[in-house]
Amino acid sequence: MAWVTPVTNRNATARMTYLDMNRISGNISYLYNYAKDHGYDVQGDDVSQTTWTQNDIISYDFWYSMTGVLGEVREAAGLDKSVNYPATNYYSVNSLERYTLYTWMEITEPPEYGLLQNREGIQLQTESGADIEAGIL
Amino acid sequence: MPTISEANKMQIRQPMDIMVTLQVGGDVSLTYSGYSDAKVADGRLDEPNKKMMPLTDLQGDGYPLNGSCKLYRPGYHPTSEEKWGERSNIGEPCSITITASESIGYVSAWVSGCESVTFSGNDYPVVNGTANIYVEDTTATFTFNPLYEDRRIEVSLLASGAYFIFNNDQIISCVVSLRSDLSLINPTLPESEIELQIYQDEDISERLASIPDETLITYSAGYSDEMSPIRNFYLSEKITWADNVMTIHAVDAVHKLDIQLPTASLLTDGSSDTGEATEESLLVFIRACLLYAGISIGIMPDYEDGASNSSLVFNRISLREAIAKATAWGRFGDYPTTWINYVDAGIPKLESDYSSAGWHIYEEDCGDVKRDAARKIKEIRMPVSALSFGDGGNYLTTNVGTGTWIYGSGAFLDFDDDVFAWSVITEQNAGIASVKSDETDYAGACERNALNFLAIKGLMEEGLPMGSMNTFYTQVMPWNSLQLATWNRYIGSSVREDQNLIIIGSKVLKDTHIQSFSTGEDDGEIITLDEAPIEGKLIVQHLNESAQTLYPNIAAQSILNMSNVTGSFKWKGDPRMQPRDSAYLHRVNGVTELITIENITITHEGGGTSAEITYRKGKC
Repeated sequence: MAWVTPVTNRNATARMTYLDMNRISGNISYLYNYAKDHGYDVQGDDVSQTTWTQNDIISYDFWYSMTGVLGEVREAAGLDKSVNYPATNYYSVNSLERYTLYTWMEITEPPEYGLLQNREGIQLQTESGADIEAGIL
Repeated sequence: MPTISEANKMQIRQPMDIMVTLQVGGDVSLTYSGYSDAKVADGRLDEPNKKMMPLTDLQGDGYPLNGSCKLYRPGYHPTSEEKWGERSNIGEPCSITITASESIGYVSAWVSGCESVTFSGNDYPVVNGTANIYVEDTTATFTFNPLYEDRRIEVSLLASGAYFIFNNDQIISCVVSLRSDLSLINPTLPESEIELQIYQDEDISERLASIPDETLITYSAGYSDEMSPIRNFYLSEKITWADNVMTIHAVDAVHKLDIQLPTASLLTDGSSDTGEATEESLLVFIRACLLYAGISIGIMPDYEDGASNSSLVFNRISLREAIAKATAWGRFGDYPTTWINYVDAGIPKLESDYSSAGWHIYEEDCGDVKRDAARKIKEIRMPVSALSFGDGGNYLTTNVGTGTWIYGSGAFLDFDDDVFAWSVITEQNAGIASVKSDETDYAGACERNALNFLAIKGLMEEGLPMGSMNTFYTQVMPWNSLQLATWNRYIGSSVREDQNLIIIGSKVLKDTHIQSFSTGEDDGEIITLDEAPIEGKLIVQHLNESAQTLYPNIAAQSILNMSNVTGSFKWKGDPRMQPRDSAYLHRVNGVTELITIENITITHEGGGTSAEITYRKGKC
């Protein structure tokens, strides 16, 4: 499963599609497996579903299980574990994807530039809100 | 699509959507015995009042991230107002099987994303989201066929009865008259009504013939982004059919209130303050009246709680009259913060505060605003009835009724007049039952209503007048072992002939005097109200303290504080308005007046909507 650049700039007119769910669940699974492979002591199991179609309905149990996996990865990396954002509004889903990005930046060695803007061209920031400068990671 | 508020600001408004439903039958109990090919099913298909819960569903282009959708949680039911219904896999059919203990008759399915419903080899089209299917058997399996490849079918209701939905395509005219009464003088609780003319391609005249009175008709209007609240009306006349046009006349639930209180009622509430006690007691009382008539108002409005020792007394009065009078009590003077309103107009609503809906209506958008001013009131004269009691001791001599005592059946009494203390004796002066002022029923033959005696006790302690007393005794004393023993003792065990009875007692005396309330307006009119039947009085008292008569006394004070200016105008209309709503009328002369809306007649005809509104100036 490959890392896919998260989407973090939704607005109130945004909709959640099965493609979004493939990316979010796939990224969290990527982080889980990456962390495990690189010696982080991650508790619990991987995300249970990473392939979504239009025929799926996101369940409460799945969503909080998935955000729980991200929380475990973050805890293993020494980050705040609380990322249980709901799936029902745009700012929460933005936040969740932003935290997958922060976690990715924390545990991997990202390229020096090129991914410092998200795919909509918006400058990425650190978890504390500072702009990420090329080369400092 | 605009919202109603946005459209109201336009000079030329888009025609409103109208949605009218008619539900027929629906008295067969169904069991849902099978769901096939369902993605989601919660078994709540017989609950039309529950809304379909928007889910985090990835069908089509996904779900909106605006907070409106909820995560699907199997094992946990949605809230009491919501349901999941049955939802298919995308682009695929699903089936539901129902059974009943009798012939099912009409079944109505409410669906979305569904092209047709297949039953017994026949396809039934979905019109306006509804399919009506007739089932002669006691079991049936319906297959719902998808309309879209990338969306799922959602079945929100599959219930007994036919459910017709009519919209602008079929509705020729729709006149909705929403009414209240702001007069306070001899108040009434008027009915609201709806009159519809609907074109129907399919000849359903035979079905119409079997539609009974009280069939539910719902009405809503607005735009797809914002429809007004649904108003419920009940068929009051047989639906007529001519040239594929049906005419429907229905009224709101107020007509259900044309029944009497089941008994004299005494409400004791928990307040030490008369004003608060009255507010709470009246609200509780009105709700009790409504529930008794089968009308639900949902959540009670807020009211002040208090401590103890206050009571309200009601007696022998129709529910409609009781509620009308309860909403006419003091709104000014001693109780300026209390403002009980009850209106129906298809949406039964009980309020404890003056409505602050705050509609803004501009005279330039209206036809001529006609104003009328009643003459100023100088004085209100009100005939007030009071009751007093004759001799209530142990030496009753006045004949107040007769009766017959039948062996094995009991004593059947016929009271000549309203009485209080009384005894029943035979022609041989043998006493068989008695109710005295000290509440002693020493013969033990008469069943008494504890609530009534509580009321008597409270009234007697203070000597308070209230309604007729003949609700406080029974007119039939059934035969029991005590009657047998009394018969044997006084008449003789071998005697079987009917015995004539005499009732001696103390009459309830009625006195009427004129009570006046003055405004000090010397050039005003003197109004003499009709004499209020004593049964219609509403009294509040602290037990062992003096009482206040809410109606008519304090209601009369309210009349003096109301504006005598009324008016009417024609407007483009808003189906969200409710009688007794407040509004700001912006006059062309720059003056803005606070008004209270009394009646609204909304007319949808020829693609347009207009409203005739009558109002009274100020708070009412």
